[in-house]
Amino acid sequence: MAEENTASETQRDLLPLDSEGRVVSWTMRGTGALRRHLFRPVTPEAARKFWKDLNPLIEPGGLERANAQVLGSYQSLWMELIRGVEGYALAGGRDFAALPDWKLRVPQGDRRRAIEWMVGPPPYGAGVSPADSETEYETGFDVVRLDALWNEDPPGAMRWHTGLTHKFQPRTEQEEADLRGELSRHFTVGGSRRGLTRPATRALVLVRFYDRMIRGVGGYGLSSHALGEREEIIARMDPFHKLAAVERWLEGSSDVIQPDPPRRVDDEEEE
Amino acid sequence: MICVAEDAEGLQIAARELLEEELAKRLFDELAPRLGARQRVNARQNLGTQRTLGAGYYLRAAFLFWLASRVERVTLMAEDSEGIEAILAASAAFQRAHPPCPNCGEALESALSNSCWSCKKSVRGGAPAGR
Repeated sequence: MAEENTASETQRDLLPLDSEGRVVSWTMRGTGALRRHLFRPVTPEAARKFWKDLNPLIEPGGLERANAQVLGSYQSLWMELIRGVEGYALAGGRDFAALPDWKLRVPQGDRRRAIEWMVGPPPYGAGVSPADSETEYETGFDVVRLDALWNEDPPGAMRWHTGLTHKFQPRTEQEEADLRGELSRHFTVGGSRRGLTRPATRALVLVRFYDRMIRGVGGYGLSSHALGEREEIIARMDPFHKLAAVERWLEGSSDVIQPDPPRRVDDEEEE
Repeated sequence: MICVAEDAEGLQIAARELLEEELAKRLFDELAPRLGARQRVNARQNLGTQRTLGAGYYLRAAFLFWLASRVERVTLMAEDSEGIEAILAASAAFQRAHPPCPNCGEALESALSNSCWSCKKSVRGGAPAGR
């Protein structure tokens, strides 16, 4: 019996990648109202579209033409995945969800918050724990640890899953060269001199690199078992967790005390 | 739409401009302590403003410089090889315009310089022709 309890507790602790949907909820400070946004699961296709929309165009001077796109891509991902909302009261107790244009009536700030909490950037949908990236000297793998918000437990309270691990094969010089090469494959639109640059979609390149280099994960599960096999990881891992893990891996450990930068002439002038 | 990786001519221009820019930064660091505040600000603002192509060319050229130092250890794709040829041509042209100081090896301000801005030694008889 004790063993059964332990097994079920262990399964319960895993982040359930095959949950039927995603929920993001928060409590309004002023009214104490609980607002919930109920989403379909995030698919690789939705993530791909989101990242492509998010990819900025760069003007000849190096300025990124991104702001409008950032807003647009958050809104379109919300529109694509949202199934329903709760906690939006109408006068007279009328049902908000029964309004034909309820999607458009949800405040834009709420939509953006819901997407941010669901898919990142850190420290929300796919955050990073303090002990973030290190080499496991015993096995030789590079290990990244993430903390992530994922649905609710209990209902009304979002749950942090901590210490999620991603284990990578250390990269060779060839793999590093392949990655950098892919990241530097840009396009220009409107001529080489005055045209806009469409950079390689960094997130897509990095997710492909994740699939190439991942060797194991910990803390993730499907309804029946913990995620373990490499092919299954590639097929079932949340795309935003793939991105957060590989980004952190490439950055290396940031949990170190860095030396102060040297003082420059211009710094002294500004003081 | 132009794929930057396949535009060798553009990459050669970008590589040359990056090399010129790098030299200009080193010259600025050398000169900065002797400039007045306003001159320093003006000089710094001018750094990096001479680029003539889209940003993707400079990012790709920077990658090719990185890759060029590893050609013996990695397998190159065809477009990488062509890109490296382009940046090597740019490097050779840069070296002709800014031959190395025979004393310290730093790129001179120009092929006609009589002294080196870095080590301050004279370059007797003009700088040697670049390779």
